[in-house]
Amino acid sequence: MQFAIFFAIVLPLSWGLMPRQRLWRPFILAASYYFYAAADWHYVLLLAGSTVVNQLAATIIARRSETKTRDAALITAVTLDLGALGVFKYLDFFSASVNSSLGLSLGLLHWVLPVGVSFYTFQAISYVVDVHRGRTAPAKPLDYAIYASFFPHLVAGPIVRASEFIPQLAGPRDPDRVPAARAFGLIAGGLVKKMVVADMIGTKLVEPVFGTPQAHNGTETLMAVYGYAVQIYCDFSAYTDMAIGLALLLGFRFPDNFDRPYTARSLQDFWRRWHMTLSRWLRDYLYIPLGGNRGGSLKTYRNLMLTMLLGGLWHGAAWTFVIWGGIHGVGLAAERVWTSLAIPVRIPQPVKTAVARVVTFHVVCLAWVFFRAPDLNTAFAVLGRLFAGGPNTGIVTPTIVLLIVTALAVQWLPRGTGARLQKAFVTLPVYAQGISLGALLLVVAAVSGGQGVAPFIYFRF
Amino acid sequence: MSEENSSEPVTTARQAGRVIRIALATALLLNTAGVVRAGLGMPSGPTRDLLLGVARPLDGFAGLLDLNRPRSSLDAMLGHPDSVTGDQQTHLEQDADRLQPPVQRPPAPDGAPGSPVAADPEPRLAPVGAEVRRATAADPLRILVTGDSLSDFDGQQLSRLVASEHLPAKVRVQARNGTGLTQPSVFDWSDEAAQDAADFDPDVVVMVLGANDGWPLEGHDVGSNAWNQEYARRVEAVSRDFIAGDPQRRVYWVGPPVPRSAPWIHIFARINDAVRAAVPEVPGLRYVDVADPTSDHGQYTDYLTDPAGHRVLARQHDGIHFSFAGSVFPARIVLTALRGEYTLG
Repeated sequence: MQFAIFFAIVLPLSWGLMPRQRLWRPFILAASYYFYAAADWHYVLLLAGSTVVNQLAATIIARRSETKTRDAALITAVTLDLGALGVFKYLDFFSASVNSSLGLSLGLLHWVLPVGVSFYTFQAISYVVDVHRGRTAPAKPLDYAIYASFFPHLVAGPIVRASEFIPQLAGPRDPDRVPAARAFGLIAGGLVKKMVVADMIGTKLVEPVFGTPQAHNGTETLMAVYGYAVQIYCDFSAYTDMAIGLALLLGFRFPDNFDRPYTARSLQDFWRRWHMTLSRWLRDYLYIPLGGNRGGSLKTYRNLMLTMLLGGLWHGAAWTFVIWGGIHGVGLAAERVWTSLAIPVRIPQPVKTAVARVVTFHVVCLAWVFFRAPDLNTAFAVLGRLFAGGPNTGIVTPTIVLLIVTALAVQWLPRGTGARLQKAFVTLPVYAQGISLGALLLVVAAVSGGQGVAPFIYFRF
Repeated sequence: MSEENSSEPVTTARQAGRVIRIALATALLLNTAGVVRAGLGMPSGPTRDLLLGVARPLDGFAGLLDLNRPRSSLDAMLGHPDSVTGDQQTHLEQDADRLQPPVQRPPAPDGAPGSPVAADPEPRLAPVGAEVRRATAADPLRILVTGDSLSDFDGQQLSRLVASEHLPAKVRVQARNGTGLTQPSVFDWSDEAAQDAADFDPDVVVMVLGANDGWPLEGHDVGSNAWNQEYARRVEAVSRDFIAGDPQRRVYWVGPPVPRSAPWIHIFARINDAVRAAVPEVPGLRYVDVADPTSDHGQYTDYLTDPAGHRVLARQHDGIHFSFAGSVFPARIVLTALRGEYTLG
């Protein structure tokens, strides 16, 4: 509700000031910082500090020709970026692990993770590295500050590269070419995915099972595992869809972040469809610098494994995330081994594809169990209950099953379905467009039961 | 990158803004009660003031034209009848000053003519502190968790605790969202108590109530002595309605937790005081304090630490309700209280 009011004020002001870029730039920067301060004003200093450090480093890298100076600026910036992330995200995990394994009692900070720190840190690293590589010119300080804090992507992505965003700041956006139908579709679809599908499945099915696995039988546990696969997709993709939609309404374009991930035929394919902006970040700034697939099979497997393990740790400082990354790393390596063996299998291609999709989906679901569980004991308890008997507790209702099946089935709709709907939408008169969107908001509020919206899952990361 | 392509329909920023304004106005006009309620749940500040400043007058207008009916009908169709009650109640709340909806007096404890209590004056109760009975797997303790929206997750978590500890108890959760003791014309807990007691025949009723009770009682403002006395009297009356017919039945009345913001901090504290004051009047009534143990030295806190040392986001965005995970804290407190009086296994 607060955000709706905020955006309803910012949108017309942004377009009103757009022709006067000297006014628009400070305005959108102030609006973004106000948005960030609403979560916790203390961490505004962290965002501002990160912006100053990385812009300073990028400027030094661009202006100086000596390799040592350029490298030193890059290393300093990346170290400070990762250092801030480490203190807030990993120090307690490290201390707790040391305490538990060595019987020590190192103090824990219990600091609350600043919202969005992982996302803007990754963007900052990509910026200084790209400037160092000569792929991006350093931005003007104000432009970089806007890129780093731009509120639609500040909290949970998508991870937009400087080279994608900063050129869009070169001049005013065209107020006569706003893809509003696409934006409305993304925002409305996001609301439905989050408030109707993700929250209902999460509250009614996933939380009870992952909270008390021993109270549920195999069927309920299996449905909760499938349910979580749907919940996390609908939750996270809803956020990024809405972020992309809001940016479009403001005149800016972000990269897509999801492309029907549960239709993937392999884990490699899955990572080309899931959190695509993180996948390419990991590829370009971790996997390739580690050596990528240059250097033979074993080194490729090692690099895949390291990338996925670190990708897991990026999500959170817990062994559950390490195992989540490990499952994907082992899976990706196993796929390469299987492909390299080229064993002839006499099965019709459609059957092979179907089997590949089913196997991929279930490996992804297996990994999600570790991702969702609060600790390893719970994860193994959930897996153990998959084969348990016992009475039903009534949490698998027809509505929940329908939501899960529908959310998975929607991924199989032909490409272009959304575009056709958008074209049909814009043929409606303006008042009909507005009333239909308002009615949808009402229905979403009613279906969600007015019980409040759970925080987006990726706000924690 | 979501590149622009030539076939993508585009429009002007002005037209997009017009569509947004119409959409928000439509959603607001058809759901003014829900928006007022959302506003009341926000932390104090200019956004809340702005929202309530717009939504309250519109709610009056929408009430005259019955514009909340589509939302109410949707709620009823979707099986959220309690939300309808909540909406109506919100509407009543903002109109309370000028409309003064008729307050139906709960049945008097002294057995006034026509009141449900008259048929069964003073139940014979087991002595306080004595073991009421030993529950076994063959004869489990029947627990009814009821009340307003606060009771829903508390009940579910109590049910899970009972299941996970294999205790001989059956928990039934019957949340009546949006209800309270201050507007019996909207929802009469005395009637409900008598009906639930007859339907479920519980050994124990866990009553979690108070989130919607910030209104004047018979013209007295929250916090006044008269308000406290009247609220306590209603707690007493509803408890007696639950207990009527089974002297062994107990009512564990769970007060609301410490909320994030004013005026709820003041209101919830007064509600807890009133419930406490009612306890000596009804031998089968127990007060369960969740406010203090789930606060940070009496102050609101979003996070609580469980016995394993994990920090849990215990409260919802509204700063009033517990989150699902956080509801385990009041549920544990209730279970501990039950164990003080019942032998479970």
